Amino acid sequence: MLKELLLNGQKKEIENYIKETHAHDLSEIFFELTDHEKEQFYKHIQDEKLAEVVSYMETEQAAIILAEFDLEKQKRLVEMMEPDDAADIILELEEEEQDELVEALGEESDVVQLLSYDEDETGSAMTNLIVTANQDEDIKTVTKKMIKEAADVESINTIFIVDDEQHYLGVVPLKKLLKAQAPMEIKELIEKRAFVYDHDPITETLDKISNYDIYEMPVLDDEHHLLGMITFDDALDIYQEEAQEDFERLAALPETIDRSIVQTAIHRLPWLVVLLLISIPIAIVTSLYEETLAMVAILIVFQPLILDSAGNVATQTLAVTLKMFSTNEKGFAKNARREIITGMINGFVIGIIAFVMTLIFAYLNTSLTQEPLLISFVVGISLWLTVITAPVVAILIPLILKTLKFDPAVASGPFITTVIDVAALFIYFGLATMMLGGI
Amino acid sequence: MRINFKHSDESLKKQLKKTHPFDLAELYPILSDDDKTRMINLIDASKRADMFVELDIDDQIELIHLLDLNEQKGLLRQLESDDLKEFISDIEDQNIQKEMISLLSKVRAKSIELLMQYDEDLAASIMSTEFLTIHQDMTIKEATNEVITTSKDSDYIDTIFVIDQDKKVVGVVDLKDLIIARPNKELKDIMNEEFQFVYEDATIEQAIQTVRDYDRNAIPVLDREDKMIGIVTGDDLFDEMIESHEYDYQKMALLKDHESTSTAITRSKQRLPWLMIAVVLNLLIASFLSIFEATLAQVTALVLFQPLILGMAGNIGTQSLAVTILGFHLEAFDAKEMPKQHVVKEVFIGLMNSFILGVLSFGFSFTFLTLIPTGNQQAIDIAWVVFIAVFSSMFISACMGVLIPIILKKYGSDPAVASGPIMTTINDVVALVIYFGVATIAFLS
Repeated sequence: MLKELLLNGQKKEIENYIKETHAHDLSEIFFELTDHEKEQFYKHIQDEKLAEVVSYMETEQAAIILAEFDLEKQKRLVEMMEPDDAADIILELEEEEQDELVEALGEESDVVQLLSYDEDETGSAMTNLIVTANQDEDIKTVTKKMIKEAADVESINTIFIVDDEQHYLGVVPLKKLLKAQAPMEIKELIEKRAFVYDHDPITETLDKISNYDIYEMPVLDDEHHLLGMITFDDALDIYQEEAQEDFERLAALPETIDRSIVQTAIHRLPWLVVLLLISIPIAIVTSLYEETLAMVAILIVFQPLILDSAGNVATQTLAVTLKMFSTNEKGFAKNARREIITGMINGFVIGIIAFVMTLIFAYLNTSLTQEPLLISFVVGISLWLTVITAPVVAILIPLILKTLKFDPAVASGPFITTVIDVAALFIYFGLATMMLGGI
Repeated sequence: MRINFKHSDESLKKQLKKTHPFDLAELYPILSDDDKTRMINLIDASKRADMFVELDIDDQIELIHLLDLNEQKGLLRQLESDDLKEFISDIEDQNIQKEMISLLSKVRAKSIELLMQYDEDLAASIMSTEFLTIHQDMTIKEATNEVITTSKDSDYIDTIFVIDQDKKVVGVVDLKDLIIARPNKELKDIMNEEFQFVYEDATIEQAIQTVRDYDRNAIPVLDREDKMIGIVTGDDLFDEMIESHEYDYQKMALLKDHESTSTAITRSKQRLPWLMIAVVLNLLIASFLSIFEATLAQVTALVLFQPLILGMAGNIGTQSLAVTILGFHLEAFDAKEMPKQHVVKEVFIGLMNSFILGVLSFGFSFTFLTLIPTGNQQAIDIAWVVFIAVFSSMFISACMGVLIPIILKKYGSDPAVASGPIMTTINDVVALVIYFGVATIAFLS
């Protein structure tokens, strides 16, 4: 539709179409346009709408498009965006362009102030386009002020109340304000509401928003001055990103971005190669026990059992540990203790199951071994020992990575599984050599 | 947050007043019976209702039975329809369920029954029926008055839905726009005709996507005649979103209902079933391996690379599975149809990466056997077998990682099941059959 209009349509028609279509939909159609059509599109779209359209795009793509314009227009567009959206996009620009734009915007700009926050901090996602009122004002004054400011703020559903020094006191929902009868001071309507600090981790803030069902979450600085709010739609988007990241890390999957097939394949390759490399010790360990294996061939049959179980348990503990890191939860030592005890209990239970299973299996396949009881012991005890080791490794590796200031999530499920395989084989073959060596 | 129940009622009441209902709900289950009674008697009715919503079903039933009949009715009246529906449908005991429904007004009971008809994964099952509609012929002034005078506390009024004579929704007006419009204008003039909605048969995922794409706090649910039957609010969708992400994450890690507060014993109980299934399934693998006994005895070097092959097949499978499950979340492809593009892309990536990894494994196993000779076979021959096994088992595993969840979803099953031990076992068996099968053909015939 837009494509045809851009090529053959009248100026008026095109402008109308752009005006009537939701910015989100335009942001999707935009990527289907040819370069020539894009040029036409830029000619017909108002700056304000363009700023909106760009805000709806993925930040990487938005940055590429923003960079196409001259500095003057960049500045204009950025100032029309919601400050938190603008800040995200600016962060994706090339360093040089970033500096130029930041300089053009000036120190005082809302966007530049947001840029000073770390990406994981609540402040980086906040907007300062809010309606505030002084506690001593009359509701009539507040209503007037709100109507006047409504067009420039993100939402008027919540009015934030402060004292003379801008200290946050509470909120008044719009609904309550509308129903109230003047004359009345606004402070009589105040509701206490949870708030967050600008340096709080964003994940904690998301928790509060979802637990307390707050659509506009006030953000304060350390001295309780009101700085802005986190809106619900931003919270949803950030949660989606965080959840996706956690999931990708667990699966040893690099960040998924839309790319071509070959690029995506190459993007995922490094992890697979690393995993291959850390499998080398497995082969070395196995070759150390070559003699035992040659004598007791049945050991090989149960090798996948030992390795799989160790890997499963390690992945469980790793998932819990990484989640703790990513949500900044406290009580790491307690969690570690519980995980290790869990490993002992589970190892014991599945060790016994494996013992019984191996025994039955060995009696049914007498050609494989003359020592069914001894073999079953080796399998059962190795399984127990490896399942105890697994949580320890799955806690220690991310912890060590974190202490060394590496990203703890380097330890993905597959990574930890491969590491634990080496340990598991040592235990399994070592024990077998000790117990069966004389045979 | 600390609340001291040793204090007098007066001071306790003050403390409770300052506490958010969510935090009260966290506190409630660990209180003694006496303190529970004290607490619910000291908080006001609306806070009691807000706290009630956050409790588990067992605690909810216990709490409501601590109240007298009038208070019970009052509490249920305070609940939003979606919360009420959730409470009633969660009650397992039929008698209690009937008892609770009998406490509702006739109209309310009817609307709850209606909500209970919708499938759990439909947006309509979590909708609220408290919303405000306004007739399109009203002036701004009339509309504003209507909003202010008729809206109840529980009504969602941030957006007002405009209807025509046939009660069809023709547009929406944000409260913000209503407030700032000039009073003598018509509602039609400021109404937005291009508005986002979902039909009653839309899934929760589709509703989440709409809310995220268009930055709305709530969206209307329409029946097929375009009549409005409810709204889905963002906070409920947020909860659903968190739940489904947590679910997938835990499934991927073979966890179930994990909470950071659970004790070691609870953790064991939750995790053991999966681990046991995995152990039993491994018997299957063991049986398969024993078929190749003769090959293993003759070609001892094969054992060295067995974990590598199983591991690599598992790893690439995990990657493509994770991408596919994430795809469902992002609604990058439609659940009902086969997302052809996604499948083609993933299969090609699988092919390419399996080949590269196959070549690397070839090089690695050849070098290894040249440095540390094992068995009587030529290093190069074993390396070829490793190449074939790594390449084909990785490729098959990558394809399964994409296809299995999509097929499961298509037939209405839970796609996250694909991350369980059954899949791992299938992959292992396939990899071993290829590895030892090729070796048997190469060295024993």
